[in-house]
Amino acid sequence: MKNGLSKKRLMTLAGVLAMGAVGLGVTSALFSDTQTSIANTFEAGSVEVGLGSTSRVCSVTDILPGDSSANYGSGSQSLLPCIYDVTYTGTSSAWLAVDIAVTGGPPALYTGSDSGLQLKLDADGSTSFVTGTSYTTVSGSASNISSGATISNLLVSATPATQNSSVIFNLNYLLPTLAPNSLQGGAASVTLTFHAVQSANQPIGSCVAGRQCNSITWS
Amino acid sequence: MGCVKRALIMVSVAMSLLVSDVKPAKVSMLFAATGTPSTTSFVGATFSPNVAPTVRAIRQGANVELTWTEVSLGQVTSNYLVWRVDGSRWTQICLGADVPVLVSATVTCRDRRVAQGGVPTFRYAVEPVHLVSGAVTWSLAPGVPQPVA
Repeated sequence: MKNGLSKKRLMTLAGVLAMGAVGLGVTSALFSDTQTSIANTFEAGSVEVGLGSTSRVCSVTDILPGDSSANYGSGSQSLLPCIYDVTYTGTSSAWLAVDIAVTGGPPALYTGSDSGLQLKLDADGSTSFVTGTSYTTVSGSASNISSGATISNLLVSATPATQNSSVIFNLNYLLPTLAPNSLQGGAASVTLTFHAVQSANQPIGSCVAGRQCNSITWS
Repeated sequence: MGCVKRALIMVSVAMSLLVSDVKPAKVSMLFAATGTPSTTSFVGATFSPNVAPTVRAIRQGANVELTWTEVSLGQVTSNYLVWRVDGSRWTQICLGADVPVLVSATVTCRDRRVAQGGVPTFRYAVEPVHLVSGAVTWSLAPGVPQPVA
């Protein structure tokens, strides 16, 4: 009996649907007009980081105590600084950041102390990322960069980069006269990684240029 | 009745299979890019050779002439501290007007008026150094003191 009722209900439902379908095919008797708009296109923005032609990636050999690059501010200031001309080529505005990793040895010329290799990294001669052997944390305090560590997400600017804007990163260096005899023949490598992420829908929050910024989702 | 039940079971199994296969895609929702240029490298200088040279000390009249082979430090010529060794006393010589002179990979200097009474019993040694504003930064251990011939 129940089965029979269900079948009846199904039949009724099918009938109603069929009538509706037929109704759709009936021509309207009202005057009408149709306009087709130009097709909407949705193109994804892009984010790219490239090195410009004025870049000078250094390979400094035979560095002696007292030697430094031109703009270090002390020492001989007789050597060439390393320059990274970073051009942002993406179409969407983006936050830029730099990561720095210092490795070396044996023996390690960069010791993370006053007597080893000292570094100064800045952007456009103003925003400073690394001074001596330290960087600035999110809270604004100086923190030591130890050999072998990578310091990530140092914010380049509190203003998003736009297409084809470029930033000159200067890496200056000094081997202090305090460098002990044990550093003779020592080696160090500095690897900079530049990265960008869309700024749209990513508020900068309390991040400050020159400091580490971890509140932005970088990838 | 049996047919409806079986159909329901099949549909529920199919649905559960479909749901279990749906996983979150590992795709970032943000546009991002990274560029890593070549690594900048630094290498400290080394003395070459890395052992202090042996001094040759020869009496010439009242003076003692000292000679030794050049030591370089990276691409520059090393400086030298020259020592007159009398027992346990080390006295620096070849200063002022008598600073060591480099000629064709040989360095010379003179210890004046120390041989007036004959061949002195002093010994001599040199210590290659790097000087910054008159202060020694890097150096090699001095060579073994040598007697006057």
